[in-house]
Amino acid sequence: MERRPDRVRDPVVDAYRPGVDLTLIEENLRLTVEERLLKAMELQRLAEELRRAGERARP
Amino acid sequence: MITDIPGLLRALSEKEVRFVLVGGVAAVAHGSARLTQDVDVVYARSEEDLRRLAAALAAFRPYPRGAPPGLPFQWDERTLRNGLNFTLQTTIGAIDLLGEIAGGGGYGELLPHSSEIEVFGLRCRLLSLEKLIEVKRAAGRPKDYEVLAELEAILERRGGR
Repeated sequence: MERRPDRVRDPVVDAYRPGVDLTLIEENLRLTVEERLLKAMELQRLAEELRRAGERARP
Repeated sequence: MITDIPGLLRALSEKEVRFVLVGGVAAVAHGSARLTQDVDVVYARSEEDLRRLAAALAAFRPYPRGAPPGLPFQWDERTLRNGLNFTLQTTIGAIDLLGEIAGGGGYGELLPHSSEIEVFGLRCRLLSLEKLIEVKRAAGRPKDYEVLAELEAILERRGGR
């Protein structure tokens, strides 16, 4: 078990904390590592499809 | 292009390349919900590892990502020996091969901060969440602030702090 040092607070990082979607984290933590990686690939696929759709929509 | 994460991990594992999974894919493995486009690994740099790594990816035609076509880039162990960190595009996706990372060092230094995981029927080593946070802090890149906030939230959810 890795020893955990006391957290060094970084006010800049803390400023981003309210933007963290905890529901997504909770959902991911219920998945296996393999499921998380497959989900990431699905997200990539979706992003790529959206990018292509955006290109097609340009005049 | 969609990065074939299992395909890249399989290519490395089948040739018994020693590596630690770091970066965005490691963050996803720990529970991050962020989009990641490439696989980042810190690889061991013994002569044998370089030979295995060159062989592992050769079939996928690695080429410096974003570079104009036609460069005299040769993918072999000599290129690996002469360089350190490589950001590559392959036929199965983007991969960053890192000899060292800021705040973490090389494979040998990261090994004690990693654990073996089994994914897609393969065994590979994943950098611990605590060390991932440490190296992202050390990198000090503004784009990492959001990631750090998320990783710290994950650590707290797991009872880390």
